[in-house]
Parts: sequence; structure tokens; C-alpha cells
Amino acid sequence: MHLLPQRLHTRMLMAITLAMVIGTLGLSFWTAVSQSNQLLAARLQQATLLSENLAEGSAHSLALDDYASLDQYLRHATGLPGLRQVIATDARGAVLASLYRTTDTAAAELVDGPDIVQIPTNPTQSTRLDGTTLLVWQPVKAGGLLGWLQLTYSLEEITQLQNQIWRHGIILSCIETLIGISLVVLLLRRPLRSIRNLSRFARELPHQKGVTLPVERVVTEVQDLGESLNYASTELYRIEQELLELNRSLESRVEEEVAKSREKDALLLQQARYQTLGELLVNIAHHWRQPLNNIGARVQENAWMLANGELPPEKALDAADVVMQELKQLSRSISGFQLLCRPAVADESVLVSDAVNRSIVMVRDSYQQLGIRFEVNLLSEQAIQGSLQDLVQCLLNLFSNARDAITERQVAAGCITVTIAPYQPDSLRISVSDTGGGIPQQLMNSLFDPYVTSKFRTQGVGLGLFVVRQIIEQRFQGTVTARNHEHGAEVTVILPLKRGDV
Amino acid sequence: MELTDNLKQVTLLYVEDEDIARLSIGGFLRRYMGELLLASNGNEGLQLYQEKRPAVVITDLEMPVMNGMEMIRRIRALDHEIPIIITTAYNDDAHYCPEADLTILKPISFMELLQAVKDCLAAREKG
Repeated sequence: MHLLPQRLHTRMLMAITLAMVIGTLGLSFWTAVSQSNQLLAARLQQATLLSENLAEGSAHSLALDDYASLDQYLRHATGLPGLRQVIATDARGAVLASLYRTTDTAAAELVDGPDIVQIPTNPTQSTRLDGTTLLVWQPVKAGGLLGWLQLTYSLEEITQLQNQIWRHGIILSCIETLIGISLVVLLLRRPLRSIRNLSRFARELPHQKGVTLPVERVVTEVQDLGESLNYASTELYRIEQELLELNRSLESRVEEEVAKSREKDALLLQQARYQTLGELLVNIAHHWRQPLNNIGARVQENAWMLANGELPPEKALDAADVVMQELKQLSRSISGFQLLCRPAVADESVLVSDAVNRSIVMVRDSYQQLGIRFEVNLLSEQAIQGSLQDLVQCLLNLFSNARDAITERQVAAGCITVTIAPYQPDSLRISVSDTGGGIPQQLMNSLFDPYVTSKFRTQGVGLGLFVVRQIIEQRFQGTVTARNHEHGAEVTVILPLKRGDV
Repeated sequence: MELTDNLKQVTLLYVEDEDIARLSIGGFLRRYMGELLLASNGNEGLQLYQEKRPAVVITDLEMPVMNGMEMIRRIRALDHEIPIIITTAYNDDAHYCPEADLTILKPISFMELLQAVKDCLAAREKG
């Protein structure tokens, strides 16, 4: 296949040339053979008839042994077309006359030859082809065998005819080939040029998306190809534009979705903050109403005693002092709760033990009422970078979960243990462990997902640990994990230390 | 005036874990009641109830050892009629107690508390 030309039009030209040459030569061969055979058959028939006529014409001379008349007769007879040589013999083969001429137009002349020639044994006409000559043995009879005529016909004209046919065939094939090539070149020139242009266009298509070429309408296939490439080009451009648009819109959509997600997270955090505040309000109720009640009781008691003259002046200051202590306690609790309502300062230095203490102070009293006590193991006194109220909220959420687990299991003496310890050189660990029996196994895998709760539906919406994770991961770049131990659950928060403290 | 005089015939049980409140309010109530029983948790309150069978019970809810809810439940099991008044700092669903006659939210007004006792007793007398 490598011998074949690479270009299509060269192949077509070669194929057409070969087809024409083979066709023309085949036709020439067939014509030559056919014509030769027909001519040979005609010459053979003619020769046999002529031979018989000559035999009849020479029988009289041979019967009379009139050789002069025979010679004369045969000399005339050699004027027949194609006849070259006539030899007359007697019945035993002795040559009586021998005439020969070189061409049809030349005059026949007597020639010398052998005196006796070998005659056929069977006295019937026989023919033999010998190259370009036809030899006919014709017996001359008049009752009995009088002699023989050996007639030699030339078949050169048949050969000449064949040669002529061949010559004409070759010339014709050459002319046909030339005409064919010219026609092919002429007819394929424009389509091939179009194909070349389209090929170049197709190669450069990635750089010329959207560009179209004028389509040649001379050949349907080329037109189809051109239109297809133009369609591909415009489609490519359209798709590229769509992709670019999609990319542009995708960026904005991603930004939009990210913004929505952030907004959603912010809302969730806000919701969780409100939930924490809601829970704290219950504590506030106790935190405030209890001292308010004490103050109220004192004030009413003092007023009553004063009205009845039972309060000596020196006791009045003590009574006021008791009231003021209660009021200061109230003020301190306000500061604690205010922390959660204050806008978060994202980048302050937070002492973890401070956050733990503040969180415990907020809930200790109400937890004590439930029989829950706190234990704090302070093994590290280091600071982290972030927001105090975020960390306090996380701790309050963890405490709240621990409290709910302990009260649900009705543990007599519940305990929440908070451990602050070094973890890595650049991080510390806060563990909040409870005695509430542990986290149900089916919740372990989705524990930090939003709206996952083990509690009865009125008790919580399941945002606590989700919010803890969000805050710890996003705002402190920390991690949070949970596990069960013998008596309950332990949530461990790993927080990176403040840079200067590492 | 008649009712105030009648209060002098009445034994009242006041259960409160906060010392200041218990002593102050207790001191006030003592002036009006015939006998005042003071307890600092539900368990003490229940024991005093069983011993003295007071006519009125005033109790806090969140208390150590035994909370007010549990104490009320047990007293109600013994006596359906006794007036029970709750004094609490909590105002949420978790601290709602249907067994009590009345709930007074802290801080407590002495006179309001006294009036509540009177009202409960009057309601019981009317049947």
C-alpha cells in the first residue's frame, strides 16, 4: 500500500489512466484477434474455392500433357489476391511448373525448384497454416488423379491488419488517457482545491471558532463537507460561548450559593445562640429571681420592722449591706450573660480557663438544683486566638447536652468534668465528660450534623453539637470529636494555641 | 379581720432552701399564723407535714434532696384538700405544677403571699 501515491487525486488519476490503458488495449486485442480470425476464415474459404477452381481449370492441360497451356493458365491464376506461389506436379509429385510472385502487384515468374516434391498420400484437398502463409494441396482429378497443385497464400495482410489494430489501439489509449487525465484534472481541480482549503480550515478551526468559509457548490460531497465544517465551527463557537457564559455564571452562582450557605450558617449560629440564650434565660430566672426574692424579703422585713419600731438604727446598715451584696451578685450575673449578647470579637486572646469558669458560673446554680456538680482539671493555663463568647457558647452547649443526658437518666449525683490540658506543642485540649450514660450508638456518625438530637422533641432541636463544630472548626480552626466512656460521653475539643504562646 | 384572726388557728408549712428568704418570709408569716413550720427541702417538708398535718403548705420547687414537685405529689397522695402554694423563680413549662392551688413568682410580696394564703383558705371553707 505504501507504493500507492498518498494524494487522492493522484490515485484517481492513476486509476483512471490504468483503466483506460487496460480497457483500450484489451479492446484492441479483442478487436485484432476477432478481425484476424474472421479474415483468416474468409481467406481459408476463399483459398479452398480458388484451389478447386484452379484444379478444374488445369485438369484439361494436365490430361493432355499440354504444359505450355498449363503454364499459361497458372500464370494468369497467380493474379488472384494473396496467392504467392503455385507449383503443379503430376500424380507422382514431379514438378511440372512453379510460379512465384513477391507481392500482389508483382507479375508471377517461373522459378526453379526441386524436380520432385513430397505429395500428400490422400488425394483430397488439405490445408496447412505455416506462419504467415497458408499452404493448400489440391488434387487435380479427371476421373483419376492427374496431378497436384500446391498453392501458397500469403497471410501478411492479416498480420498487417493486426499490427494496424494494435497501433491504432495504443494511439487511441494514449489519446484517451490524455483526454481522461485532462478531464479528471479539469473536473477535480476545484473540488480538490476546496478540499485542501477545508482541510486547512479544519486544522485551524480551534483558533478560528465561529469563522465560516464560502462553500463551493460544484460537488455535492465537497459542499456537504464545507457546510458540515462551517456548522462545526459555528457550533464550536456557540458551545464555547455557552461554556464561557456558564463559567461566568457558575462563578457567580457558586459565590451566590456560598453566600447563601454562609448566611444559612450564620442564621443557624444565630438560632443556636438564641437557643443558648433561651436556656440561659431559665437560669437567669433563677439567678435573678432568687436574689431578687431575697432582696425583696429583706426590704419588706426591714420595712415591717421599721414600721413597728423593731429595727434599731445600727441594724439598718447591716440590713442594707445584705441587700447590696445580693444586688452586686445580680450585677455580676448580668455581666456574665451579657457576654453572649455582645458582638463577637473574632481575634482576641482568650484564656481557656477563663471561658470555662465563666460558663460554669452561668449555669452552676441551676445545675446544682438538679444535683449536678462540676469538676475542673486545669492542666494548662494557655490562651487561644478567637472570641471569648464563641468559646463560652460552645462550652454552654456541651454543658447543656451533659445536663440533659444526666437528668434524662436520673443519675443521682451527676458530674460534669472539664479538663484543660496540653495536647500538642501548638494546641491544647478541652474535654467535657459527663456521667449521663453516653451517646446512643445510632447517632455517633451523624452527631455533628444539624438537627440531630437524642432528646424528646420539646427539649431541643439538635443544633448544639453542630454549632460547636461550626464554631470550633471555622472560628478557631480546631477540631471536635466525641466518644463514649464507661459512665457517659466525652466531647474533646482541640484548639490551636495563640501564636505567641506556642 | 376575722380571717386574720382565724389565721392564728392555722398551722402553715413553708419549705424554702434559700436561707434568707426562708427566714425573712418565715419571720413575716409567723406574725400572722398560729404555727409556722419551716423546712429547707422537700424531704424535711414532707416529714413535717406527716408529723404536724399543717392546714396550708407554701413551697419552693427547685430544692436539693427532694424537690417541691415530688413533695407536692406525695402530700397530694395523702391529702387532696390541703391548699398548696408554690413560690418559684422559674416561669417555664418544665416547672408547671397542676397539683398546686396557686403559683407565685419570685420575688414575693409579703402581702401578696399572705393574701394568697387567705384566699386559699377561704376557697376551702366555701368548698
